[in-house]
Amino acid sequence: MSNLNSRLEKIIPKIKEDKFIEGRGLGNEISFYVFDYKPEDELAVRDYIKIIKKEFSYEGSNRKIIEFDLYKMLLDITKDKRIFERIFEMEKKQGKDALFKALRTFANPQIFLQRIKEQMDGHNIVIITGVGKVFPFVRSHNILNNLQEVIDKTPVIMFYPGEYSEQDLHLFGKFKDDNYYRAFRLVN
Amino acid sequence: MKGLISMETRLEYTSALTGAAFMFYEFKQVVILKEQGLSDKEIRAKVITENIFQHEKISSLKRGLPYILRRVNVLDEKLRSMVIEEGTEIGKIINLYAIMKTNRLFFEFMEEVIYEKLQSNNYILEKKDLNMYFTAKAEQNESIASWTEATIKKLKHVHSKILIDAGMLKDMKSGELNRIIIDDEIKSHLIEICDSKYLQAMGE
Repeated sequence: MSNLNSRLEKIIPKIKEDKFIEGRGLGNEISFYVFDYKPEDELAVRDYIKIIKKEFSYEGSNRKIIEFDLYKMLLDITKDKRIFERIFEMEKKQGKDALFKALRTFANPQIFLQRIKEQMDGHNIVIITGVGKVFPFVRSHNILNNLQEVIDKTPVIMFYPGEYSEQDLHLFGKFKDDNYYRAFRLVN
Repeated sequence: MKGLISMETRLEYTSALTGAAFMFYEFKQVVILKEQGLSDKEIRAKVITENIFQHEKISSLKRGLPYILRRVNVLDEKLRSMVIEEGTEIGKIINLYAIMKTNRLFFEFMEEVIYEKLQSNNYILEKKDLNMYFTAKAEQNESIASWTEATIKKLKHVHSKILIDAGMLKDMKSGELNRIIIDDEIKSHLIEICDSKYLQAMGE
């Protein structure tokens, strides 16, 4: 836990650095960061994200953070598309396998990207959460892979319940997502 | 609207889909014209003289138009307004429904092949599924048995292509079927007008 706390405490100073917003300079590198943590630390991390957002929420702040909780987004989108109630009905009537397949089909990266694009509105830092909760319907690397097209060079921090080695993403330390090389670890 | 049962007894097997596949864009344009109060005749004239579909060839346009009109004509006011006002996904589902409702061969394909697969959580549509379906239909029906090989081949292609355009099939190569969750309003409306069998054919 102490290790987690000391890592969490490094996040705010990191965001405050000039180069955080300016990007990594070299080449056209996109500023994607992953903060990985043990799944059992989920609640502590969630609390700390509130602190981070608060830290930069004062008037005149030049860090305008927007959080996208993938799980919450999925629920909102199903409500907007009027299929929210249908999900429960489908699970009851057709079973878990059918529901899994249907939600996997529905929750394609594009519906998330579309929404992110609509809501960016002047924010200059993106935080992605809810990665664990939205599993297995959405695999986070699929979102990351396509994110640049909608947010350009805005820095992104993904909070990731698992391990990221700057090569592989292992959700919950168990499931290997595709190889992913483009993000940096936010805090070692 | 005419009774469904009487309509269906009149539906013959046709190879119409060789000339009019999913054609969502065209479908939507005709729905819009219909909503403006134009008659079929007026729509036909307008589509052809103004080339509303922007097809390069007038001949292919003339060929497909009657089928699109027929699809649009099975929609009631509620479904028409949904095609116009709601997003593309909803429009596509309604188009798929209209195709099933106006084309017996395609509807039975959905019912006998796609529904069966979804029902057993089998999400791969193979070439042999299409082959078997068309062979079985040819055995049961003289007119289908008389179609040329080229027609059957084209129909197999169009059947898959419609599924892709409707979002139910990922691509031809993988043959991976998707399961779509149908919008609440469409679902309850189709149940209300006693068309729930089309919902079922889409895997609901």
